[in-house]
Amino acid sequence: MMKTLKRLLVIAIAAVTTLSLASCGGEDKETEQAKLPDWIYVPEYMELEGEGSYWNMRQAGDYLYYELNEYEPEKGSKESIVRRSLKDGTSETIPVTAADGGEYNMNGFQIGEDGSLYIILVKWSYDENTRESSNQYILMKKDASGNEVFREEISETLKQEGAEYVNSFAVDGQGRTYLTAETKVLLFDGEGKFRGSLDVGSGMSGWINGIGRGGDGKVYTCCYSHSGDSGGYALQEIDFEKRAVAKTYEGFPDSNGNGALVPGGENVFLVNGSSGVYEYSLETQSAELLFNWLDSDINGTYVNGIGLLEDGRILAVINDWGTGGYSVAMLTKTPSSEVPQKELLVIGTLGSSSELTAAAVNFNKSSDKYRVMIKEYIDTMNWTETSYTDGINNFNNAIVSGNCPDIIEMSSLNVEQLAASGALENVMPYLEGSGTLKKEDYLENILEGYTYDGVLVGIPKTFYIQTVVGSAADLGEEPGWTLEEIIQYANENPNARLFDYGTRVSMMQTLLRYNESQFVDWKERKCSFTSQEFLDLLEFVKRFPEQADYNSEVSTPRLIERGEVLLDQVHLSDFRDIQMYNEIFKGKANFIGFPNADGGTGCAMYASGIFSISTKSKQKDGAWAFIESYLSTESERFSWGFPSNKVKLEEKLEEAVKVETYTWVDENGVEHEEVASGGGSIGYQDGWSYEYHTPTREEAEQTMALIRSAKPRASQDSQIMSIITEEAEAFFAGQKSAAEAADVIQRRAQTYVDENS
Amino acid sequence: MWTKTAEKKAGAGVTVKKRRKKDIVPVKKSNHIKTTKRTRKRKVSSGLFIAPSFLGVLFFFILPFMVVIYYSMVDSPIRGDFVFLDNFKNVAGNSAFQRAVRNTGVFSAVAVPLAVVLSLILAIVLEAKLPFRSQFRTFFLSPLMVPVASIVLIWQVLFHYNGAVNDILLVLGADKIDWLKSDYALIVTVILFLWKNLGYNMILFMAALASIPKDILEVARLESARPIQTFFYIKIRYLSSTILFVTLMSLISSFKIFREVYLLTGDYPVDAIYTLQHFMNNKFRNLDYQTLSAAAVMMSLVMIVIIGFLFLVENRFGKDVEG
Repeated sequence: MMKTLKRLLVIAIAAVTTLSLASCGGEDKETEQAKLPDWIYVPEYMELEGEGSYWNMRQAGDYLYYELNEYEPEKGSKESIVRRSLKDGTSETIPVTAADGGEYNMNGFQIGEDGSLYIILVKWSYDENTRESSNQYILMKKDASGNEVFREEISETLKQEGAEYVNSFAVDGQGRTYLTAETKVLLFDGEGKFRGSLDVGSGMSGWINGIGRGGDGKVYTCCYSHSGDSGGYALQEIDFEKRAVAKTYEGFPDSNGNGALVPGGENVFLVNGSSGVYEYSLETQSAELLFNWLDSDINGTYVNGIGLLEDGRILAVINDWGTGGYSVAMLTKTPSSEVPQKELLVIGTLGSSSELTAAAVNFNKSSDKYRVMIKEYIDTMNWTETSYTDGINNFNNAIVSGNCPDIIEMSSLNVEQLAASGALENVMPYLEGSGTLKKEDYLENILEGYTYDGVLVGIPKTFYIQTVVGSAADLGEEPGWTLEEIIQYANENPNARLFDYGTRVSMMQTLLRYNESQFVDWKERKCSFTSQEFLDLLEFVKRFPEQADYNSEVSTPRLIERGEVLLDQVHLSDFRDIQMYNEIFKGKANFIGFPNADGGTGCAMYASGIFSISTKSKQKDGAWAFIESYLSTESERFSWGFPSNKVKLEEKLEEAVKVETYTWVDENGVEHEEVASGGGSIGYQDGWSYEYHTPTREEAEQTMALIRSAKPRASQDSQIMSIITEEAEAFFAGQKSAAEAADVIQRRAQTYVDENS
Repeated sequence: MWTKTAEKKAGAGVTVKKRRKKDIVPVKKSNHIKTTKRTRKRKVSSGLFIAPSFLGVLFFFILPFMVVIYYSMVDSPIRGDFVFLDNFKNVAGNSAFQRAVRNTGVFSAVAVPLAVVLSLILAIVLEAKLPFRSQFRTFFLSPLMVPVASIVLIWQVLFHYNGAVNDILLVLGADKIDWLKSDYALIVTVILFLWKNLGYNMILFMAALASIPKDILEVARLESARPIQTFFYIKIRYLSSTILFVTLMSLISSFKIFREVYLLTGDYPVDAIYTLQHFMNNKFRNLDYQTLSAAAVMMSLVMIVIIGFLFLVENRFGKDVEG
């Protein structure tokens, strides 16, 4: 009997062991499970026809209000508030300031429970004698029909209360107005008469973050509080009669720092976080996620404001950063089973960005088969000092353990390490088989840079260039130099500094960025940090200061012009960027690059917007569909950098060199055509400035040559660099000789090289 | 019933009169069944009592170790392609691993015997009726109460290039020594290990010394045995199991010195104190789980051999005083 029991036990252990092995590395292991919530808030978009800025759009009841600023020639601008019915789409305009009559501008408006409008007007004035500016404020009320009820000059009251500016204001259920100024709340009755003030700053940090009316008609302020475990936002209920804080409510979520208070029913506020909408309960003093914007195919970072409609729908005012246009969406709570069913994929990222969310929304809208969700590995809602490293560790562990997302957003992750671990799928076959993208359309050096052991782990969307620039008169016109040459150049110019803001650490990094192979032979597994060349390098770097003087009043361009600084490190992300250096270096600059062991071009290329497919994903085709969609769509208006797609890069070049002209008519009626500015100017603290012109084709080609010669990955190993900077410190401090410091570097670096060979 | 158990119970050196066959009374069958049932019940209840611990060991030690063995035989935990002994070959051929093995071996070979011998000497000294012996005992135990971070801080203050020890050397007219970044680092690490572990070992030895039968020591004294003879012929014999235990604990602690060394000198210290745990820790950080697992398996095998050898030694020298 016992024997049988023992046998059974052994079999059980063996089975459990086998199963555990299967679950740890078997082929059946699944990636991060994607699941839609039970309820989806399905949007219905309302068209905003007609002209208007749609500025400061907000909702009350079944109406949408926004400011309208219209310019009338020779008169100036007039401001109005537009009230638009969400039921029938009709709108009416309520004039606030006239184009020719007023020096006052609208500072903000609020809507009372009865539909009255409360408006703050402001007039800015400047005293030439005292050289001081001041603001005059008016509090005005208009009834729902647009008739003025009262107009009160409140500047004196503000002065008496020690407040210079009105930050924001709210109106309670009884039509009383609450103005915030720094940490103070100023109270005005239903007739606009001042009735006292209170300071809510006690126990809070900084100014009042926001103010608003709750569903109960009371007014609440939002401040950053230091109480609680680690601090956070708190609400304070204001008692008008007692001029005091009636109650404080902790645990209010961060609404992107704008402190917007949107009533979401009695004792409930709706809060728009960047990724979703939260419901904050005054009773429980806690917030719960109501829905994610992405599930509704809306980019949360584009949402300007939210509101609750009388029929329970949620209204969102959306300002698309990509197009600059405004739209209004009304979201209806719908069971997820009733929305079109698609295959779900997860994009893993340390922290989502506007561009990533926009890409996900675009893809979800365009794909009938797949839907992507975003999983953030950094907990931004509960930020601590270890959040970032915890996020990276969690993300790495998820990837390596196989429980990872289908698509991996690679920024801030160690691409080389993950590629070596086999976590990243080869996207080359997908690229070659794509009907939308072509392999030959991408810069060869970019694809080569992200190919590890024959595996193309990702295709960057954009990149920028980092290089070293100097005078072509000194250095010649050919790019590329060696470590010995840069040291020699510095020695030949003893009265000038090599770089402005150059410190020992930054110089060591600059000099070794593409030069480490001179001292580390990975093939032979041999370090030579005790060589004379390295000792010379240590001696050279010791000449630089430990810390840079960032308080210098003279700008780098002027120092270069004076001959006090020889070189500069530059970031090139646009075709116009090199112009300024040609100006600084009096004619022609040589983008000579970082010193390189073989004297070649040491031009560094930094890529962004890289997505990889997890080898464990069961939806690899879907993951590629997303990457294909992301690489195909245009970047947001404000995104920067060169596109890695050659066709788009060429288009960018052609657009950049296109000379734009404008015409103007002089007093004699003669028409003149002039070349438009090339896109802004740059100025420094000492008055040195440069106005960009439209890049010439020659300048654009010069940039293209740098792009073609750039190396996507710096050959510098961060661990070896860290050992060098750590050990060289003792030499720089005069505690050790160069040879002693080099000996320790050699021993430590050799261990590292041995370990990783 | 005459059984082997009776002989065992009698113990060594005790004469037991053997029973004749006719003295053996046959056991009734019913009694036998009762005994078997009782034994089975006892075994089941013992099994139930031991089950939580057994499951704990199974899930937290045995299964994870099985996973480690699996990882050591695949090309990567993600791809999961079986490569059998390739990882072991790579690890064995890695010069950093070889250095780590050598350093760990040298450190253990130096530190462990020192920890055992010095703590035994301290225990014997403190066993004597010395003034302030309880204060001395507390003094030697105090490192156990100091958190690792504080220990590291103390050691940095002492052995940093600009630390207290070098200040003393300068006062004495000698040159500064880079204690933590030269071959001296091994000496510093051994001193740190001894400082931290001597107190604990000493207490174990003191307890063992106190448990040696006083009558035997008295007989030895009456037989005019010299203290050195008493020590080697009696005390050491009685201390053998404690010596084995202390040696094992010190050996395990010597492998755990990485924590202090890591906090003192980081991921890649000077080669003299680069140990096996540095190698494994760095591999873990680089997500190279297969190499890490192969190294861990090899280290475990070596540990099993060493511990097995120690048990054999203890069995050989300490058997006659047990019981």
